[in-house]
Amino acid sequence: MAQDTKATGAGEKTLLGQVLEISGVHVEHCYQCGKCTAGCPVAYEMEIPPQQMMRMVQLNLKERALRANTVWVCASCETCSARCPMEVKVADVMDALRRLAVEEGVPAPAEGRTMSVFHHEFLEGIKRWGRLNEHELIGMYKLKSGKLLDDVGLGIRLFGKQKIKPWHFAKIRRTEEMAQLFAAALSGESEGH
Amino acid sequence: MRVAYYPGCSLEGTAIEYDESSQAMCEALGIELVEVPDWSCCGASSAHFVNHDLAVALGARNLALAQGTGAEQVTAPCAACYARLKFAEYKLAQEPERLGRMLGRGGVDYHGGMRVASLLETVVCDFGLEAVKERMVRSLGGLKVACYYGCLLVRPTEMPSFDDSENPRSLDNLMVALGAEPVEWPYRIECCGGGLALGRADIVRKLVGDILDEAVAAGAECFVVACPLCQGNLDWRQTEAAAERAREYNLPVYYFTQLVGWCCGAPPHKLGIEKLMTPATALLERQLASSQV
Repeated sequence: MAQDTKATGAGEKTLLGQVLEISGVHVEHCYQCGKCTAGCPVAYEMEIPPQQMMRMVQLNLKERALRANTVWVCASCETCSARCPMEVKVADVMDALRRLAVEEGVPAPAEGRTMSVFHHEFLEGIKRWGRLNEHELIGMYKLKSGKLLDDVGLGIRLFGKQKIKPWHFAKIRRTEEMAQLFAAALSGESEGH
Repeated sequence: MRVAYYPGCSLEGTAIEYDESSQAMCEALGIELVEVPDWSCCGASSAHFVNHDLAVALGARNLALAQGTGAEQVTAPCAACYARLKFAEYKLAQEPERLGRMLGRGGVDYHGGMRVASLLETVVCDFGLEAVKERMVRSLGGLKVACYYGCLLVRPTEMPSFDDSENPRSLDNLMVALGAEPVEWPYRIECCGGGLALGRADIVRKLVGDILDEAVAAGAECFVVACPLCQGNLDWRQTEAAAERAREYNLPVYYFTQLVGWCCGAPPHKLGIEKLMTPATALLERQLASSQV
């Protein structure tokens, strides 16, 4: 892609630099052994597997890296980080790339959109109540993702086991504490390392 | 033994039997649990996906409240909560000044010092297997169990851990102490799909199917787990995975707290075994015949 291969202008941050700033991970240490991809349980679903994502960060191929479904398929199991011989925290890099994709308005690809909706609704829920109310998350997720008919049978079985109580909302005593905490974390000094 | 208890959101909902059995087990063992007052969500599985400072903030609020109980250790049954609380403690130690200021602006006065443990760790490492054995009123009578650790119990690896990240043994050792026969199998730390449960059920069905196939091939009659996400994925998606592969599994997925409680004389009705999706009471009743200590 043309926008990927252009030289980075003076003062413009490279993807390598942005990832380092957000996550503290030195992706330049990666020498492409492929252990991360070999151990990744969901690599088979990724458009670009983990070790190729690391190479794309090194080569500043931002557009292609952020547009791939990879960061939205990652299950965050951290097997990659655990096995990297160079101690590159691959899962932390995935977190950083996902954050960049959100901040820079790169739309999640179709099959990644469901997870993007899930994370958004999850955090909105805990900001509202201080606790995660699973039934609310499930409901909001279904409405916003359009997946209304998925898992209806499972929902009925969970309700039958009294594991879902739609009439009960758990919350902390002063829910305004959550807004304060979110504001402090999201608008504070940038993460330094 | 007195520890602060962080149940976490799942244990109030879809994993209610993990909360019930954790409390019943600890009562039977004589571990005093003091619930963290006014605890809030730890942020798993989404906060660290979006912003690591937010992940620290959500964890630290609970660590501050846990410290207020006067206990030195906070224990979490859920592997995801455990990992998030431990992450907050670890990051705060690395960047005390910047994160301390961030927490201060967020209204949280916490500067570290709590020991974060998973409930499995509290039982195996702090309470001890010999002490568990002393309290047993029945054994698992050679039950063939697949110990499934999943991911978060033994990761991230840069933080100190109570067990090995590639070949963990704590659940196996606990099961041996209870008189079970853990099977040797290769998928003990493979991921179940965790937080993809809702958004990508197709991936979860595939991963769970692979795990089930390996457990059956190793001769397991059931699973034992220490995480509500592992339990939910293995248990609730089992019939779907079976349909996809045109085979039957019927492997109960017990929380370790249910099996320890069952062996150590906790009232069976407090263990929530009937709340598991795959029928799980018949297998334990069968073991009763061969379960004398």
